[in-house]
Amino acid sequence: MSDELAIHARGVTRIYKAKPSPVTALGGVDLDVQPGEYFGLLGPNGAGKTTLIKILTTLLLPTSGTAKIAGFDVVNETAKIRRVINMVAGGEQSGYGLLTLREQLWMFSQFYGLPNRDGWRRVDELIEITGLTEQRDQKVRTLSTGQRQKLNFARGLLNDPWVLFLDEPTLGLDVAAARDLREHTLAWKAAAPGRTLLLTTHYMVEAEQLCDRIAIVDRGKILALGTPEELRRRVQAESIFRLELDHLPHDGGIAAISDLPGVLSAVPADDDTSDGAASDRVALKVALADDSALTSVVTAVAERGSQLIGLAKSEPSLEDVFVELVGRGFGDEEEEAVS
Amino acid sequence: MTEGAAQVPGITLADSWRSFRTAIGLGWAIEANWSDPFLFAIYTMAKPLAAAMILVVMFQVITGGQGTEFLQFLIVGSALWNVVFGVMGGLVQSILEDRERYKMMKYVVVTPSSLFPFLLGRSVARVLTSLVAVVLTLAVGVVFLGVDLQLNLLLLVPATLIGVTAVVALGVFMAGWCLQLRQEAWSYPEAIAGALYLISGAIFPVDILPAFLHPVALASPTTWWLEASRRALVGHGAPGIDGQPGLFEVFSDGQIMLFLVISTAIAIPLALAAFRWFMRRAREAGLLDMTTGS
Ligand SMILES: Nc1ncnc2c1ncn2[C@@H]1O[C@H](COP(=O)(O)OP(=O)(O)OP(=O)(O)O)[C@@H](O)[C@H]1O
Ligand SMILES: [Mg+2]
Repeated sequence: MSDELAIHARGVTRIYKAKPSPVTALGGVDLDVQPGEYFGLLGPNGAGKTTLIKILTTLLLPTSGTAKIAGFDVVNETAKIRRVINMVAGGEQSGYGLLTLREQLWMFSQFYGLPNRDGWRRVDELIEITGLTEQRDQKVRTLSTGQRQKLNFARGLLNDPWVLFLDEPTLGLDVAAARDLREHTLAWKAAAPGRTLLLTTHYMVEAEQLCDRIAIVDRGKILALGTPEELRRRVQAESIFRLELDHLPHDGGIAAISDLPGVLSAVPADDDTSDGAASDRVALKVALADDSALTSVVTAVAERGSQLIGLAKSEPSLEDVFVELVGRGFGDEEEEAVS
Repeated sequence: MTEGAAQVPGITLADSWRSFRTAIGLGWAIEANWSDPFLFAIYTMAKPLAAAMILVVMFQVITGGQGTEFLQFLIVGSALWNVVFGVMGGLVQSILEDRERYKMMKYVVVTPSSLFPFLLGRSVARVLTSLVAVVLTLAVGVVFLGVDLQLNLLLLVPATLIGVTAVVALGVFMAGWCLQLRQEAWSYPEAIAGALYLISGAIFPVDILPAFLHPVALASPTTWWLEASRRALVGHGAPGIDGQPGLFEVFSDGQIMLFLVISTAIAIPLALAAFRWFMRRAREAGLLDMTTGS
């Protein structure tokens, strides 16, 4: 029992009946999320992220495939799943405008079966955490978009879910509020072992900063899945460094570096602005088979009388990964369509 | 996290009861939210009264003021029908409002409380305001139109309890149906309520209906509820027409109640099953968070 996955999906598809033709929103998704993971779904508009969340939160039935939350089937064991999950979607104007914040939250605490007094305590605690203390007795309809979003987030934490689904939770929030919300999610997760989050987002930084693992989705398929680190490595297996020298080694020039063992290539960096005019300064892009080859490069440079002015590891960003994968995805499909 | 998985309970009766109670508060907050009490009064009282009066005037014009028996029939029927419109309208409106205006239905659905007790609770305020309209219409009938009230509480109380239950069951069916509909299609359920109004003997006796509609009328608990309520309020049921004995005159009060109980007992599981089926369909088609407006 204790080794149940938080989320387990196999071959999940979803086809919407739509005019003029059916839309395949999910084309066979396999996904395993461990208890305690902060998992990210990253993908362009229409990739199928919200559709997957709706299926996992029992709002929508899959067309085929199976999915389980904490071992419970999303099609048939909805009552059990609903006890252990919660969901927050961003970028919407939801709320019972006529109730006050406290009333709305309390109402949901009752739907989650919290005893009366615990309910009020939890409500006030969450109002405090989300920074809505000043608005607590205000009617929901008077809240700003961001305040509503915070309220929605507070509702999402009411039942201390095992698995919390966040669909673009920071959409429409200002920079500070978005940062607060990210921090709240991390703090909430850290407060008890096993708390699991599934986040969808368009913001690379958000995914990279929060998520233990990320799946990049497009057109209803998972194109890549791994830790942010692994994903970046997918795009670029070797390590690339940017070296800035006061001048090229007199003894051998660039070749003195590129011929070193462990060095795959050494070329002038694209962004080298030195022009050779005012100074001999030079920037090189050095590809190494392994980070450990860096020592011999630095030593060789020094031995040949050049001075190292700057050294930086140039990492591919998650964005590079995204662009490469999604870009390639589009290309493939177009080719298929043509052939 | 899943050591407790074996103990995660499904929906319990206590959950449903709590959700029901909580939703009553929400329904009340929404129902009573008339910034203007004058508008509230118009809506809950003047509207049903006006509807009843139009019928009465039409009747007076047609019959030239003859037949108080039929006048009583008319007033009681149109008074009670407020409950049907109130409950059905309330349930249908809850679905559409929560889904499309407040956009909260999906968040209610993903709680362990289930939509059903929530909806019931949400509509209680509507039931109560509609009962106010019933009492008011009857009162006007008694004071100004010579309705001769002969209360039989022993019959009235059970008939009202069972009758309102039956109406709620019908409302649940409508609400489930409404889950499938786009916002523009609100009027379908309203049309059903209207059809029921015509065949249940609310404003003219079932006897007048063409014979092929009689089985439909007799299967609907609303028909038996109206007949029982008339007997309990003014001492006699639907009158016959053209000197013929009325359709229900052969039945004793006890038999009428029995038919009310039976038809309600059939309607409830049917409505529940239909609601379940509609919910499932809504999940299949992705309608639980649909916004069809604008
Ligand atoms: N109810 C629906 N009927 C028909 N098609 C739908 C429906 N809901 C979603 N789709 C389609 O399914 C695809 C996936 O939609 P989905 O909302 O899951 O994408 P998403 O990844 O969440 O996108 P975004 O980043 O824009 O929120 C889209 O092509 C969308 O048009
Ligand atoms: Mg989305």
